[in-house]
Amino acid sequence: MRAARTHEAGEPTPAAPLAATPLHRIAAALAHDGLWLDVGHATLRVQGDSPHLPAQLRAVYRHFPFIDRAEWADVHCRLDRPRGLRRWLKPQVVFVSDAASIFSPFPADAPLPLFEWGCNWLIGHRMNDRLLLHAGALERDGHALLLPATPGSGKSTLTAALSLRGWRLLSDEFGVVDPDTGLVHAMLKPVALKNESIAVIRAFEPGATLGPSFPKTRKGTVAHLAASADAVARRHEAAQPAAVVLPRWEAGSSTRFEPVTPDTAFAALAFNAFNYQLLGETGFDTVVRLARQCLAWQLVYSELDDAIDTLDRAWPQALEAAAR
Amino acid sequence: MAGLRLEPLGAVWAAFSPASGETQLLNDESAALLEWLLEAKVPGDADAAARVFASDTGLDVATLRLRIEQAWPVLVESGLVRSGER
Repeated sequence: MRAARTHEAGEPTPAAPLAATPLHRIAAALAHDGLWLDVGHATLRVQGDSPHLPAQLRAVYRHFPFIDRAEWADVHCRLDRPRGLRRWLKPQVVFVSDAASIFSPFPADAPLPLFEWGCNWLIGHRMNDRLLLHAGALERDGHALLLPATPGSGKSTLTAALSLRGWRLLSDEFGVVDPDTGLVHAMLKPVALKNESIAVIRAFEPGATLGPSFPKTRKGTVAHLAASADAVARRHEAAQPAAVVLPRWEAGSSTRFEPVTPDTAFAALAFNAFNYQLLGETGFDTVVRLARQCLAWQLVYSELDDAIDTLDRAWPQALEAAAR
Repeated sequence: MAGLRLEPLGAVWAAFSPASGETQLLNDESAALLEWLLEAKVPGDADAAARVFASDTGLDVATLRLRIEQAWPVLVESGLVRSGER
């Protein structure tokens, strides 16, 4: 869904990016009607009084337009300081949606990872108008590459690296597929990098825009890679799926890239999806269509540059197959 | 089962049961059995299926019966067919 800001004069005007918006304005939006983040297929409305949140959001949503009023949001949430003693003693931040706190509180200075996890949870549980694959998704030449994987497979690291080498990021978490058109849509949120992946991406691309590191979360240390200005500007452009790649990071391995059968692709897509079962026959039809139309490979890698070269070389083959 | 879906995916078949919401990937034997049961629209058993498939393929009835007996529980457990046993 798309959010549209209207000003008092009634004329829509382009909103400034968050990076160019003073922190006090972001804080004021969070304290009042909310900051509305249009991430492509969804709009998130966030409110709250966490003093750390404005700067952290600005760091990783830097290219997104500053929207402080809109007509619709798919996800509504708040990040607040708890009342009572907790406000002063080991202060925390809580994630609240529909008046319920659905996660354990985080330390007060870490609202961003809580916001990211909370929003992803809400998106994964509620946005059932599309098939939501658990997959990295990128676009090139108008076509989408899907990277379905289980946690720990290196999906986010590879997705981040590809997004820094000319592939347009659609999402590192959700492969959003429209059952009617078969197109893949963006759910453009920062890429959540964990533990060693943070240093790997810093070394891979020193110019990458990463937000602060948050140690000791339940997934270890987490840092978020901001989406590029181009990915944000084009977040409403959908892409025709062309390839499915099942990534697996293996320490010290040489790059192996092997075709997999359509049933293997089917299983990887369906059984890693957030809402495949919930969508019933619609989910089945959508995944059958993906498995038939996409070329599929398994990629085992340890070196990002090598993995990306391999994908770059295979991509024309996927485009050719998609054109048939 | 009403509304059951069976789609070829390369060398195997994807089957979906709207009744159970389950998806199964099936080999040719299981898919053929499922298709036969769907087309027959009446309860069938392994003997009858083996006889039909033997006449279609020219294979030995006993061998086919053994393979069908192995396929049957998978189809029942995934809700793709209903067992006649109560």
